[in-house]
Amino acid sequence: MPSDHDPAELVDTLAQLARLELLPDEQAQLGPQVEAILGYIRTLQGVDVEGVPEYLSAERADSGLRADEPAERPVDPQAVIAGVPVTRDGLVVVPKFKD
Amino acid sequence: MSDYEVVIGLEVHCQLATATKMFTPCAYAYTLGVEPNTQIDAYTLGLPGTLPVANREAVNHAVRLALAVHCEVQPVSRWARKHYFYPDLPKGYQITQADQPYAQAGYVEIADPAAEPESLATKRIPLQRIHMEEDAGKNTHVGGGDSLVDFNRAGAPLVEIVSLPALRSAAEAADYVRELRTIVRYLGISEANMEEGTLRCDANVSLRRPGQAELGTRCEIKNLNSFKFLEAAINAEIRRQTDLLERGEAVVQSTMSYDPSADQTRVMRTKEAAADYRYFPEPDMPPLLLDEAWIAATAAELPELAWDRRRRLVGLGLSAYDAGVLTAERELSEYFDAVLALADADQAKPACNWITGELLKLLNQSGRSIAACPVAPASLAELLALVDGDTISGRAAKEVLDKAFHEGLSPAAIVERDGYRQVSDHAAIAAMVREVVANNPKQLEQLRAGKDKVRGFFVGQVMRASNGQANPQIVNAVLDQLLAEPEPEPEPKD
Amino acid sequence: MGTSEEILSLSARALAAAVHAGGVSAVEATRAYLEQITATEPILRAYRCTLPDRALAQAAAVDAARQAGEALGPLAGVPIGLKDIFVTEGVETTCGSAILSGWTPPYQGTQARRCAEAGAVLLGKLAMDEFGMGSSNENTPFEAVRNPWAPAYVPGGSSGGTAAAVAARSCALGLGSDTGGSIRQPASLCNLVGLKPTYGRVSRHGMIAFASSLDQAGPLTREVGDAALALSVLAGHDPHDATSLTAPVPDYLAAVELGARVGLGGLRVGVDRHAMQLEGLDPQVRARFEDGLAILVGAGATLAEVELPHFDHAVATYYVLCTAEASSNLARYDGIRYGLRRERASLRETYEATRHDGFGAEVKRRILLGTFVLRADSYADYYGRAMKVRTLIARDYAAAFERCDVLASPTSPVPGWRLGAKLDDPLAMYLSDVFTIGANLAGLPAMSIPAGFSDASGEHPALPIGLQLIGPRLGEATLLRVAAAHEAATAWHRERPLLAGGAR
Repeated sequence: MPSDHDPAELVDTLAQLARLELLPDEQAQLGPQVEAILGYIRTLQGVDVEGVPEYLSAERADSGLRADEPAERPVDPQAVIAGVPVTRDGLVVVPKFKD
Repeated sequence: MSDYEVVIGLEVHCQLATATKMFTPCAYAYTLGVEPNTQIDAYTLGLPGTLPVANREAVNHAVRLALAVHCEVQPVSRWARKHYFYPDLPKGYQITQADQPYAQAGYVEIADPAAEPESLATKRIPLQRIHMEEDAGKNTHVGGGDSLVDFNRAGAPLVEIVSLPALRSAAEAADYVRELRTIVRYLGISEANMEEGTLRCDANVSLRRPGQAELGTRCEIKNLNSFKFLEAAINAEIRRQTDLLERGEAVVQSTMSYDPSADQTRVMRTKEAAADYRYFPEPDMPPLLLDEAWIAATAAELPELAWDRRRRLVGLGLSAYDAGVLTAERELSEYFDAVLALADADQAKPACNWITGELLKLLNQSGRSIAACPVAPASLAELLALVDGDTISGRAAKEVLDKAFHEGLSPAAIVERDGYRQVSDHAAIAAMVREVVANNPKQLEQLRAGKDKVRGFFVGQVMRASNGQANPQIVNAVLDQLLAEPEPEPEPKD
Repeated sequence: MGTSEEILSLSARALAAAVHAGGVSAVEATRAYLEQITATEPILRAYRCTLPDRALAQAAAVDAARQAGEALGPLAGVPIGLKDIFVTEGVETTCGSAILSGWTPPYQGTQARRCAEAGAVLLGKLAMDEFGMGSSNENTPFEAVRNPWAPAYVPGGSSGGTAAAVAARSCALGLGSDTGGSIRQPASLCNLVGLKPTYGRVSRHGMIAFASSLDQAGPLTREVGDAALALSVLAGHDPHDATSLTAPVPDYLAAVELGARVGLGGLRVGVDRHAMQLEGLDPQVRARFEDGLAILVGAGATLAEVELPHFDHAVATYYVLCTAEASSNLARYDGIRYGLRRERASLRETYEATRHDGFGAEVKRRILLGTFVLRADSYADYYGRAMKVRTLIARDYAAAFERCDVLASPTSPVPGWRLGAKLDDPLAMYLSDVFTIGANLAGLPAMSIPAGFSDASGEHPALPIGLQLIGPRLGEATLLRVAAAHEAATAWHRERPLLAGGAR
C-alpha cells in the first residue's frame, strides 16, 4: 500500500486505478488540490453517526422491477454499432491486452 | 496418494432463461451462430444516459433456485456496482450484489461418496450464498494484437452460486455441479449447458494437513467448460499443489487455467495485488424487496425435486440406480409417475424397465426427447397391463411397443390387429405339447435323462405350432407336468 | 401576429396560448428566436449547437397540425433549448466534454421526448460545465459562456448556457440539470426562475449521469408560470428509470394561480438563521434575502425559525458522494464504444490517453477524489460515513418541515463573478454551493426565484440575486405557490438585460 501521506504518490495511485494518464505538471497541480479537498472532507470524521443508517435515495414499494418483455420501441442495434469508433465485421475492435 | 486433505469450493454461474436481459428490455437468448452485436441495445453498450431496470422474471427464477437449495431468501437485498476496466464490461462496472445478496446459506445434496449407492445416502454440500448479476460480453483474441468484442451476451441474467469449501474430491465437485444442473433444469430456469456457456464453473482448490483447522492457500481454476475437464483440471491442480508442498515449496495464490493436452493447470496470473473493486450500493435501483408471503407461496409451488423423487421411487421398490436414471430429467420422472398413476400398484419395476430400456432406446434412435414421446403414458400403462395379464408375451410386447411408437396406435389396437394375443388355455396348450412330444420321442428321452437344453427345443416347437402365441410359461408348466407323470409302460415288443 | 420583439417578450405560457389560439404561428415564433440567437450568440456562447432547419421543420409541423384541427401539446410551438446533458437522438450531445465531442445518440432520452411530444421546438443544445461539474460554465473545452447581464461575468453553472439563453431571450424556456445547485445557482445569477424537482419526480433516463443519487432535470424560465408548465410536461413515472416516482402529478399551474391571486395566508416560511451567519455571505445578498422575506410576509406568510444542525457538513458530504458516483459513472468513457478514442498500442494506454485528452481538470479532480473514497479500505470512513451524515441531513430537513411549509435562504452566497476569477481554488468554488446542496442531499424540491440585483458600483455592475425556496418531498406545488406570490408582488422578472433590449 503506497503511503497516503505523499500527495503526488497518492494521485499517481488513484490515476492508475481510474485509468487516467496524468502528465507531470498535472500531477504536480492535482496533488495538493486533492490533498486539500480530502482534508476538508475529513471534517466528517467529527460527526456522530452512531446507529445512523446509510441514506436511501431510491425507495419503491415495488422494487422498481419490469416485466420480462422486449422494449416497445427497441433501439436498432445497427444504430448503436454505428457509433462505435472501430469495428470489424460487426465486432468491436479493441487494442491488444493480456487476459 | 498423499497425506493432504483436498479442499474445494466452487463458484457456479448459471445463465437464466428469460426473454430479455437482466437490467434492460433487450431481447436475448443463447443462439448458436447468431451474428455478433445484434442482441444489443443502448444500455448493453453502456451508452450515456441509460439506466438499469431489473427483470422480474429473472428475480422469480433466482428465488425459486434459492428455495430449491434451501437458502434463506432475504426480504431486503441490494444491488451493487463492482468496478474494473475490461473491454467486455461496457460500463466499467458490473451490476451485481455484494454484501447484501438475495440468498444466504442453503445446501445441495449429492450422493454420499462414502456410502453404498443403494442406500441413497446423501451428503449436504453447504452454500455460502447466491446472488444475481449481469453477464459480460465476449472477447476473442485475434492474431496481430487486436481483440474483438461481441456484446450479445453482455447484460444476460446470471445467478452466481457460491459453495463453502466443503468438497473433498474432483469427483464430488463434478457431482455437485451435475446436481445443480439437474436442479435448475427441473425448475426450468436455465438451459445450464456447459458447452454453450449457460453453465460455468470456477473451482477454488487448496490442500491442508488432515486435522489442520486453517485452509491452505487456494488457487482458482477458471474457464472450465465441460464436466470431463472440470474433474481433470481439479485433479491436475491437486497434483500440482501436492508436488509443491512435498518439495517444501509454498503454494502461491494464483488464477489457473487448464491445459487439456498436457493435463496440467497453468498459472494465468498471481494474485499478489488483489483487485479493489470499489463496491458501493447501486444508486440507480431501489432495494429488492421480496414479500414473505410471496416467498412462501413460491416455495409451495416448487416441483418435487430430484432427490425427493429418487427416495420416493426407491420406496416403490426400484433400485437406486434405476431411480437415478428415471430422475435425470424431470420430464422423464413425470412420465414415469403418469404411467404409474394409470397402472397397477405392483407395476413400478416393470414400468421402470420398459421406460429406461425399450422406450429410451426408441427415443434415442429417433432423436426425440421424452417430452415429445409418441407413446402416451396411458398407452404404456396399457402395455404393462397386457403383459402383466398374460395377454401378450414379453417378446411380443417389444414388437407392440415399437409399432405403437412408430404408428401412433394404442397397444391394444395393435395386439388385435396383428394377432399378438397369447394362447393361455391350458387344455389347448397341453394338446399341442402332447403332439410335439409324441412326434419327437428321441428328444423326450433326452429331456427325461436330464438334458435341460432340450426343453428349449420343445418350447420352440410348440411356439412354431402356435404361431408364437402359446404362452411360454404355460408350455413349460405343461411340460413339467408331463415329465412328472410316470413314464408309460413301453409297449411289449412282439 | 406580432413583431419579433413582441413574440420574444411573451412568456412561454403566453406564447403557447397564442399558438393554440392562432395568434402567433410556430414558425414565426421560431424565426424570432433564431434571429435572437444570431444576435446574441457572438457574445454569449450559450449554444453548443443550433438546429435552425430542424427547428423550422418542427414548427411547420405544429402549424400544420393546428390547421388540420389536431390537438396541440401544452408546449406547442414554444422554442426551447436543452442543456447538452440531455440525450437527443440524431443531434450531437457532448455533455460539455471533449470525450463526447461529435457523439450522435442513437436513442431519444425521456426529457427530450416529452418536450417533443408536447410540441416544443428544439432550437439547439446549450453549453454547460463538463459533465455537470462546475458553478461557472468555465469547466469546458469549448468556449465559456457569458452572463447576459454582464458579459465579463459568469452565468453560473453547470447549466450556464441554459441560463444565459433564457435570460437573453434566445430561447423561451430551457432545461437544465441540478446535482448540487446547477439549475438554481445559474438561475440566481441570471435573474431567472430555476426549479429542481423532488428526486425521482422527473425521469433521469436520457440525462447523462454525473451523480446518480443527486441528479435531477428541471426548467429555467423567466416566469414562475413557465416553470410550472415545463414541470407538468416533464414530471411523472418513467419505466426506463427505476428511481422515478409513481406518485400522481398534481396541477402545477393551479398552484401558480393560487399563489398569484390568493396569496399565502398562514403559510409558514422557515429560515435557518445559523446558516445566515455564513462567513462569505455577501451583504447585498443578505439584504436582498431579507427583502424577499418581507415580500412573502406581505403576501400573507409567517416566518419561523428552524435549525439544520448538520448544515455545516453538507458541502463535505456532497463532495464525497458526488465524486464517488461521478468516478463510477464516468468509468464507461474509455474510447471503445463511442466518443473520443486515442488509439495506442495497448488497451491500457488507449484507456489512459483517451481519458487524459477527453476529460478536463475539474472532471479529473473529481474522478480521483471519487476513486479514493470508494477504495475498500476508505469506504467506511468516507463513502459509508457520508451516507450516514446524509441521513442526518435529510432528517434535519424533515424535522424543519414540521415547523414550516417551505424553507427560505439565499441561493448563492455571492452574485456573479468575473470569468477566470475563481479558477485556481476549487475548494472555494465548492464552498459556494453551501445553500443549494442540502436539497440534493435530502432529495427535496427547490427553486430559485429573482429577488433583486446587487447595487452597481465602480467595481461591479448590478448583478442578479436569487432567493431559494426548499419544499418538503413532492412539495413542488407549494413552492410554485410561494414563488408565484412573490412574483406577483415584484417586478424583477420583467427586467431585461441590455443584450435583450433591456435597461441593465
